[in-house]
Amino acid sequence: MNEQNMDMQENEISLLDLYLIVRKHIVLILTFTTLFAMIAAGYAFLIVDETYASNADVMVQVQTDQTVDGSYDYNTAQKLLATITEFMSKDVVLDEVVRDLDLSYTPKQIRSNLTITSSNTSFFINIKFVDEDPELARQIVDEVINNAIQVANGNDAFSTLKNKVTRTSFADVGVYEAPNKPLYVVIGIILGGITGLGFVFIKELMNNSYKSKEQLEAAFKIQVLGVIPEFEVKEDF
Amino acid sequence: MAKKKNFSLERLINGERVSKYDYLVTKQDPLSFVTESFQKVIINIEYSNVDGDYKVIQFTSTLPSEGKSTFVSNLSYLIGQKGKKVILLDLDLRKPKMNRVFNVPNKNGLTDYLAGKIPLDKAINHSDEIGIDFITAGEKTSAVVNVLEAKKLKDLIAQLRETYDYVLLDTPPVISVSDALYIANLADGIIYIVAQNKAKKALVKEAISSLKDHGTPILGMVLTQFDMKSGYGYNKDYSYYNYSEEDDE
Repeated sequence: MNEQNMDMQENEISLLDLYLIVRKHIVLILTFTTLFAMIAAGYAFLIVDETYASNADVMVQVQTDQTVDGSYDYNTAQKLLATITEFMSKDVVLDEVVRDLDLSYTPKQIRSNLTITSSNTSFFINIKFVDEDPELARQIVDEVINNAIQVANGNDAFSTLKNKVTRTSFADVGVYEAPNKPLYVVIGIILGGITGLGFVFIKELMNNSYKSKEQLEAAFKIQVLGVIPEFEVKEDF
Repeated sequence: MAKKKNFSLERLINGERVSKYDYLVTKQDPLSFVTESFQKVIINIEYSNVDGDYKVIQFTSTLPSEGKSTFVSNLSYLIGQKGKKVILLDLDLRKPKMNRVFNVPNKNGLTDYLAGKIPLDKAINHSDEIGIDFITAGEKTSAVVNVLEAKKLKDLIAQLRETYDYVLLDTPPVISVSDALYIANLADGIIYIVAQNKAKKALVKEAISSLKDHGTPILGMVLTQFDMKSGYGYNKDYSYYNYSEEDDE
């Protein structure tokens, strides 16, 4: 029973122990941290392709009520906004974009990099495209808007959208979007630190060895004649 | 005075000790805290050996590289300094170290004497520098157990016991080979070396229990390679001694 208590005492780990473990293995932890940071930096700076975003807006023209001056049906307006938002990324628009710009992308690939957002509080719709080529990003955004307006106005199947979409801005050459290089490095540092700490703690917990004079005396009831510190060889020897 | 860190990539990765056996810290740095620690061990040994019953003392450990040879060479130097007649025997026939401690070739040693190749007086060397006598392991042999069991070795130790105040035996670790257990039969007592953070508790327990089964008393244990910064007591109480060392750096 007594021995069991002793073992339990030995297995307890205090904050001080944790601090000492960290201090003892600080080189290893820093090595892990540096390594992970370098891997993350290498990935962010050398491997990942840089992408650029370009965007422009269109405005949705909402029919005002003729009877009450300036008012409109809110419900219909919201539906129209949502419909146009969705419409702009449909194949019927994107097929034209691919054809006009002679792109190697499929409409599906364009859709995956295309973000079209509308808000509840305005009639503006923002069209954003992300690509490795900043100029191409600009062209695609403009072409998406052009074709959306053309299809809406020219195709009878979309007669409800006729004259509802107005371009309000032209896209500029894409600006840098990703990767967020400093963020990658910071994540690398954090992950490296956590991995290093985890490694060191597991290593230390597995290291079930004698650490002090008291532990030896308690385990064997044999006198400990002394404790000899680790020492270093002097250079002038 | 600059200190050379015992630092290498190998040590960083494997935790291996890089030893320089011919560096006797107790001789090179007599005022250091390390030397002070050795002196305390000697006082404790003398206390437990008031009647002088323990002349032939075996030094062993659980695993290799726990600091046996470093410990025993420094200890024998300090005992020698106290005017005692000390002889140090290298009974680690598989990985002899004493030749490195005393910077001599490992020949004309114990195995050569036991094989009858040389007389005893040729096997016993004297180190003027360290001030003690020693016998190296000698030519390597595959019949280590036969050597350790030889009656001639027993007779040798009996003979040395008459001449010297202390006959110190540096021996292999207990766990890897059985040599230390054979040697225990020749010794009056054992001093067991445990390096901090080295051998697993279960291994140390197994080793001590097999030594105890042999009946030779364990005079005491010594905790070596103690990291002063490890926080297990010690450094706080002795910071007074520490500061002068820190100043040197």
